[in-house]
Order: sequence, then C-alpha cells, then structure tokens
Amino acid sequence: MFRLVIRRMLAMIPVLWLIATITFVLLRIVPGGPFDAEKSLPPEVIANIKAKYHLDKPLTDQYLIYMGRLASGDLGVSYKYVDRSVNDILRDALPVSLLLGFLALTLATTVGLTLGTIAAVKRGTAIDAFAMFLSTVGVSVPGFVMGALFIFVFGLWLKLLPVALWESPWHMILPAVTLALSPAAYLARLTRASVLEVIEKDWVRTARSKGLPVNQTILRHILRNALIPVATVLGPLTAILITGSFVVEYIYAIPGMGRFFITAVQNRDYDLVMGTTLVFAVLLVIANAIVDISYQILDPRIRIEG
Amino acid sequence: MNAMKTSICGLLLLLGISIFCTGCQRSDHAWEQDTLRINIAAEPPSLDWVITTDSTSFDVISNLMIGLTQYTPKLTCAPACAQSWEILEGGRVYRFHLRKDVLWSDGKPVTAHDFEYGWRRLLNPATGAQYAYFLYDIKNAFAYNTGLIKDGSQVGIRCPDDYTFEIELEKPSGYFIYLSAFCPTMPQRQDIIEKWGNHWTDPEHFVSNGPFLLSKWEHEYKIELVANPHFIEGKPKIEKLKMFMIPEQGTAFALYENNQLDFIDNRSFPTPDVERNRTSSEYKNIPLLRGNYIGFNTQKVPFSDERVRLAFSMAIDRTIFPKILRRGERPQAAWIPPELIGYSKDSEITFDPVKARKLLADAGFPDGRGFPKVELLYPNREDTKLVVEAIQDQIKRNLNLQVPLLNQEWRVYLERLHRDPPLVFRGSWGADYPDPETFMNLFTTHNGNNWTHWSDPYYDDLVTKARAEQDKDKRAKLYETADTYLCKSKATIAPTFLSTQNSMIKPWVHGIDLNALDLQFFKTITIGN
Amino acid sequence: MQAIQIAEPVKNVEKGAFHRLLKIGSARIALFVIFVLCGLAVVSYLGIPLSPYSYDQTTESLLSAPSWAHPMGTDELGRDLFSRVIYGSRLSISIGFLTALIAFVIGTIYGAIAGYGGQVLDAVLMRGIDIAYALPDLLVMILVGVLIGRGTTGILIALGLVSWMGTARLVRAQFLQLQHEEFVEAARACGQPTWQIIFKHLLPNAIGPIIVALTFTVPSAILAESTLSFIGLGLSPPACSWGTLANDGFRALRTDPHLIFFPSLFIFLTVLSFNFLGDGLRDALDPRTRL
Repeated sequence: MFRLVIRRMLAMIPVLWLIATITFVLLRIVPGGPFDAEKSLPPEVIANIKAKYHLDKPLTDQYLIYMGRLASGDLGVSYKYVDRSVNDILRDALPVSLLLGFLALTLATTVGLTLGTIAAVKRGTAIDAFAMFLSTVGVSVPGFVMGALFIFVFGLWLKLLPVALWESPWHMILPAVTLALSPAAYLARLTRASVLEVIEKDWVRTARSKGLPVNQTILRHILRNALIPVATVLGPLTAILITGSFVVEYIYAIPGMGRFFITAVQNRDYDLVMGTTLVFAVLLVIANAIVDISYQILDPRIRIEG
Repeated sequence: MNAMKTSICGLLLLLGISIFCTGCQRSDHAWEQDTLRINIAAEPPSLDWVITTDSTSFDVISNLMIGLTQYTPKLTCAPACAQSWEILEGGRVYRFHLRKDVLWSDGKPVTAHDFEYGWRRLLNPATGAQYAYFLYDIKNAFAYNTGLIKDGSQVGIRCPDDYTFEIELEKPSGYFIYLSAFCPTMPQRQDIIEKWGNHWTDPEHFVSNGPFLLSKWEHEYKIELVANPHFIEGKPKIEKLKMFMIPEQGTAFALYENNQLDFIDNRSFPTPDVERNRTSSEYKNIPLLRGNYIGFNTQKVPFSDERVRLAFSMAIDRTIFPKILRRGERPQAAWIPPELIGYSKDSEITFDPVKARKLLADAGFPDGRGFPKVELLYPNREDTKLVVEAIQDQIKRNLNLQVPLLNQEWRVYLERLHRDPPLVFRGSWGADYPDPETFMNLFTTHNGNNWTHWSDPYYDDLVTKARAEQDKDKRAKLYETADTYLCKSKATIAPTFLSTQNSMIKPWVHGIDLNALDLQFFKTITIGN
Repeated sequence: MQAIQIAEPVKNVEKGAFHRLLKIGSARIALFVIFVLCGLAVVSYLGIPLSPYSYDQTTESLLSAPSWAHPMGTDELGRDLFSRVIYGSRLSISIGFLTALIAFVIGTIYGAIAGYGGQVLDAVLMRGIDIAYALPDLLVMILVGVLIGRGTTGILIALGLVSWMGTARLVRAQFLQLQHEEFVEAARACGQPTWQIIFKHLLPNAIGPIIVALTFTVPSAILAESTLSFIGLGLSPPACSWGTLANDGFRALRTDPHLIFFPSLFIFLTVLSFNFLGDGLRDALDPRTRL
C-alpha cells in the first residue's frame, strides 16, 4: 500500500504536466483573448498591455516562461484582478471550498449510503419507492432551483437559517445541503443497486433462508462488497465537491474557488484558469489514490499498482 | 446498524439545536447603527484608479477619493480639490486652482504634483492603462502613449506652482471639464505607489483623500469603508459602508427583503421583483445614459443599402421593449438620450411598417423575397436573449423576414465583433461622461468601437465641429443635426431603448441621490429615524 | 464442468430479457411513459400540431397563468408554454438518449480494457481519465462550439466528451472485482477467448451499477444541454428544450412558477421512468432473479 502511495505521487507529475500543457494549448486556440473589451482600446494601448504580460512573445516562449514559473510554485498573475497573484487568489478561496465540499461530502455519503441500504433491504415496499422518488428529485432538479427554494423557505419564510453569505457555522448548512443533494441522490441509487447485487447472492440467500437476521455480520459483508462501486464514484465526486460547485457558491455568495472555473475561462484569464485546473487535478489524483487504497481494504483480491 | 442509528440521531439533534439558536437572534431595529449595507455584486478587479476600467471598482473608488471636480446630482461639475478653474485661449487651456487644505489620509497635503503624477502615470505606455485614451485631447498625449514620443515631459501637463494645475489641449474641447471629475484622473501618491508596487491598494498601505477610508477587503466577499474624520467637506454621517459582493440577483434581493441590505439597484433586482414592487414607496426608477441599438454592417450587402437599414429600423415597434423587458426601459428612436443637449424629438425615426415594406421592395426585396441569409449576433448576457427574440419577432411580423439568432460566448462574440462584424448585431453603449460627444463620436470614421464601419465625411465633420464649439446652443444644434442624419436619414443604427436604473431604498436610509451616470456617492447619507 | 453449466443460463436470459422485463410492473409503466414522451417528440418532429399555437408564436397575453386557452400558461413573449414543452421534447429526449448511449459505449469499452487488461494498461488508462476529468469543461465546450458550430452534432460531442468518464470508472471497478470470481477463473481455465469472457460473463454481472450510471447520465445530459446555450452551442432561439425552458423560467420562480414547473415536471418524469426502467432491466438481465 505504501508503494502504491509513492507510485501515485510520482505518477502525478507527468499527469499534471500533461494537463497543464493541454490546457495551455486549449486556451490559446479558443477565440477571444483577455483584452477583448466591449469598449475596445487603441491597438497601441493593447500592444503595451500585451508586452507587460509577455503575450507578444511567440507561444513556445510563453509556454517555457509559464512552466519555469510553475516549477518554482508561482502560478502567475491574474489579468482581470490586476494587482493579485494567482497564488494569493487561490490561497483565499481554496480553504472555503474545501470546507464546504467536505461538509457536503459527509452529508451526501451519510444520507446516500443510509438511504440506499434501507431501500435495498426493504426492496419493493413504500420506503423503497419513497427513497427512489427523493433521489429522482435530487438529481432532476437543478442546483440553482433547489438553492433558491431553500433560501426562500428556510431563510425568508420560516426564518430558521441565514439567507446567504458566509459568516457563521449556521451559514454553512443550506449551501452544504444544496451541494450534497445531487451526489446523495446518485450515491443512494448506486448503493441500492450494489447492495441488491450482493443481497441476492447465493450465500446471502442461504443465510437468510436459514433464519439469520439481516444484521451486523451479514450487513458488514454486504456493505463491504457493495461499497466498491460506491467508492469508485467517491473519487471524482470528492474532487468536484471540493472545488466548490460553481452554482452553490454563486447562489449563496460564498467566496470559494468554484466561480473561477467559469469566470476565469470567460475572462480568458490564462494563469487563473491554469491555476484552478492544476489545483483541481491535484485534488482529483489524491482522491483517486484514496479510492484505490480503499479498494484494497474492501476487497483484498483486487491488486492495483501504480 | 446501531452506529448508523446513533449518527442519524446525532445529526438530528445538531440540526435541532442550530434551529433553536438561530431563532434566538433578534435586534431592536432592522438597520445596523450608522452603517450602509449595499451589494456591488462582483469583486472589483483593482482599486488603483489609473489601471482599472471596471464600474465596480469605480463604485468603491468614488467613495474613497475626490478629484479636481466632482459631479452634482444633476451631473454638472462642482469644485472638489480645485476650488476654481479658468478656461483660457478659447478652450485650449484649463487652469485649476487647488484648495490648500485637502489632506491625504496619512496627513500629507494634496498638491498639484499628485495630479501631475497620476495623469502622467495614466499616459505612460509602461503602465498599460486602458483609459489612457481619455486624455488623448491633451497636447502630445496620444504620441506619448503610443510610443511616438519617448519624453513624457512634452505632454501638455504643468504645475506652475504647488497648488495650480494646468492642462494644454491640442484643440478646444467642449466636454473636457467632465473628465476632471472622472476616477482615472484623480490624484495619486508617487511615494506610496513606488514603495509598495502592486500591493499599494492593500488596506494597510492604501492612502486616499475622500469621504471614506479603506478598512477591510475580503476578496470576492466584501469591502468595508469607514468614515474619514478629516474629510474637507466634513465627516460623513455614517460610520461604515459595507459593500458586499453577491453575484446572484435573486439572493441579493432576498437579503434586501430580510433587511440585511439597505439599498439595492439593478444588480440585486430580478425582473419579476421589479414588477411586483413598482408601486412600493421604496422603489425608484431613473433613466441611465446607456443606449442600446441594433447595428448594421454598412459595408456589406444588403445593409450597404440605406433603404434596407431604414426598413429594418422602421419595422421595429419600440414600445414593446418596456412591455417585454419589464424594467421600465425607455423606448429610444434617436441616439442621443433626452437628458442631454442635442436631443430633439425630430431626430427620432418613426415606427411605420407600411413605409418599411415599401422601402424593402424598392431595395429589391418585395415582401421579403430574395433577401439574403442574415443572422443577428448577440452575446448571451442577462436579458439580451429576450431583446433579440422580440426584435426577431417584429422583423418577421412587419417585414416577413426570418432572421435567425446567433448567440456566442461573450469573448467569442467580442472577437467576432472586432475582427469581422456580422451583418446585424446587438450593441450597447454607456456614456463615459454626461455629454453627447460620447454617443456621437462612436460612429465617426476613426472610432475603434464603430462596428458598423460606417464612414461618412458629412457626419464626421458635424461631430468634429460640435466637439470644439464653445457656444452651448450652437453645439446642441450641431449634435441634433448629426443625430437626425445618423438615425433618421441613414439609419446606420436602429436605436432600441434606453436602460434604466431600478432601485429600492429602505425607509431608514436618507439622502441617496441617483444620477444618470449611475455613480453612487454615499458621503451625505444618514441612517435611522 | 462448472463453466459450461453457468454459460447456458446466461444465453437463455438474453433471449427472454424483454419478456422478463415486461413482467415487472414498475418497468411496464416506465416503458409506457417513455414511449409516450418519445411519441410526443416524434409527433412534434413530423410537424403534426398538438396545439393551436406554434412554439414560436408570440401573443398579446404575456406571462399568463395556466388556463383553458393555454394549459401551461405563457412566457414573457406571450408564447404558449404547452407548445414549447412539446417542441422541447424533441431535443431533450434525443440528447438524453444519445448522450447516454455514447457514454455507455465509450465508457464500457474503455473501462473494460482498463479493468481486465492488466495493471499497466489500467494505470495508463486511469491517468487518461484523470486528465479528462481535470481539463476545464467550459473551455472544451467552447472549443467544440467554435470548431463544429451549432447543431445537434456539436451538442452531442460536447456532452459526450464530458460524460463518458463516470461509466468508464464504474465498469473498470466492477471488472477489477469480478475477474477474481470463480466463474471467470473457470472460464479462463476452459480456454474461452477474452472477448467472450467480457461479453458473456463479466458484462452481464457488472450490469447493475452500469445501468444505474446510465440512468443518471440521461438527466445530467438534459440539464447540461441547457447550460450550453451560454456558450453558443445548443439552440438558436426561438427553439427550446426542457432544459433551456427551465433555465429561462428560473428568474420567475416566485412570481410565475408555471414557467419552471412544467418543463421540470417533464424532466422529472423522464428521469423517474429511466430509473424504474433501469431497475427492471437489471432484474431482467440478471439470471439469478426469479420473476
């Protein structure tokens, strides 16, 4: 297992490099640049600005300059937020998204796994149907709609929770719930399906037909096998949550990293796009490594290396 | 199983406690003592007024700084740092006499040299300032900024003494005085900027001379300003100005309803809520100096034929815009807004579908037959989709023409507009200063923002004359003639509507004055009964 | 001995899967609903009018609530929402279906190779997925929009590109686990060719979670399509889909809820039906389920 971790860390470097390179190229290919403005500038002024950011140099030079800075940990500067470095911007935003994502992940996992298991065990009953209904709602209603509804119901109407912003732990509840809805729904359905797979295996049926209650030992065996598909999606799910869904942070006015994924691309803020992409990639790789390690714990027959 | 049950119970308990606790928060009154809470909706890209061009940045800077002059609510120029000024040599030289008692927040006096430093920095090509072109009327400014002249001292900016600031223009200019109230022309501190570089705008280094001081800046979240006790016009009556950055309109409006914001404008006001609150005593609507139009590529068929352009412009019933957009828009059939000089009802093009069809037939497309494929380009921002759908519908009804709509991602749209303007496109222009020059200049031959690529020497001539004219009435007449020519004779553009500002002000806020340039000053506000 | 015995029941199940499916009550209803929705889409495509109004026809009654004249109300331009929802079924259903199909095909092949092809291949392919996940979606989609332009092909490519990874990971995980099962080892011992092992043994047994993944790709594709309009991919007004209708109606959530309620209802019904269908399919294909 230790070797797995080391191998993964080493494998991260070429992966990150590849991601950085592809993103760099994509940014330059897409039409529209950071200084195309509604009130356009005289070409001489644009030339001045471009020179300031080395954008007048040939692409290969720009690439090497960027990679050189990246190697020393400097993620560059933002064109839109003129006085700020990408490192500073992300340093402020990342912890917020991490916290929000972690809360949502905990919520989604707890609720999703519980609901899914109960639905599978009580298959065919009203509980199962209700769980199915809930999870369908969770996945077919877009996040911004649920967010707006929550704000109205819990914030304005019932006045139980803060409407928006990020000031106290109570402010974290609604955004975390909104963010957790869709993953919880997906996890519930996935858990249900994989628990069902296992619960109908011969040995389980034999045990149950012999009168063994579906408790403790049996459940532990069921869960262990059923959790593999669940663990699978937990990887990318984690990363997506942590980078703080754009929608949730937008609706609740939370100063996280999610918004940059969209606004930085729209602004063609090259270094900020690269920075957020790389942070996301690192988190993703870490999450996947954790997932693969958990496979080993859940099912020792699986052998994964590097 | 037991573990699961316990954790669920725990979660429910936690939820219950939290609900109980939040229910416990109550206060005596809905407002925060001596504090104004507003939403600026986005992070200001920079608080360095020489570098930034963003209106959000200006919202903050307008309350931190004063320049040579300042805008009154009627948008005339009143003294600020300058107590008086003279316009000499037929409008070519402006001499400002500064007050001697204006201080920076660190106690140093504001002098003419601070203005000189700021203006030169704006024009210095190394700064890369996007609003440098505002000062291009100054002698040698264009040459210096574009690198034709290397020596900055040749630019027509002088300080005869510590409290006199003098500008020499290339040619007389009727609107130049407005630029002295404009954020990018405010004074700057050479010592501070050179010492701290990019970080001089951090709250711990920031130095300003206006009604408020920069107290806190939580990026992407909020900015807090506090009253400046040494402000020359007297300390503001409010202690704190909290500017939140809430991007979603609906959320911001919910916060206003929940008494967590005291004043909101378009940025925090979704359209359905505008409708619902029209009759409320807290609601105000004023027209802005922001015009919207449909532009034609006048260099390409079929819009190179002015009859086709006129047909399109006449086929649009402009009264539908306020009905569909529901934000109190003012239909516009001329380009200069009614609030400015040079506007005249006679410049307006009339809605006449019969005549429009006749013109179209004259141009060779009777009843729309044979009309080439034309797409209307628009960026997917806010209500633009509704506007262009409405126009598409009007053209179909009144001219029997199908104009497909082509939407683009914002930057792809801009790039296309700059490189190869489509045949028909939706455009918008917000005034930089309260003078018709900013609107009329847009369609002159050499204006870099003239996407219609229209070039008419008669029009150019009218605008050039009007710009330099010092007599107010003569100026107005010249602009009027130009406007009529632009919209009624040649239909280079089809103006659609004037945007408006929709706002709500809580009853405990007194003294907010809205103006057509949408500049928001809070130094005279009071909060409370 | 064992391998041969197991091989036979699987064959029979495939042949009778559809009949088995129809035996399940919830699946029957789901199939019916999906059939009706597809029917709506086809009818709309063929131009057979189901409503006196056309989807792009503006009227004077702006933002009216549901009534006899307009069963689902009207929008800001006075267009009948019922007609627009029917028109929208075309794109939403086809996009949902096709994207799920693309994701399934690409994802399954990719995941199967990774899960069964050995550790080195697995490592390389998984890093490939990591890269695919990490690249900024918006950027890729803008590029697709610019290169391919408007139209369904562009939409499908853009959506397909960002949807296949989930299925691939699931398939890989299942295959990784299943390849150690006894029946697989037995099949290998008997000398069955790899492709037969994959299709006859591994896939049917892995089908459960895969089908769940598919049934989630459908709604996410429908909803994702609506955001494409921001980038210039997707529809040209006045054309619409359930997703864009829901998006447009969001602003008026509290004042004119009918604008978002009806398109969302259709999305919800589609998703629910696919869910039940997915469940039914899993049971129908699983040789051990007694029906």
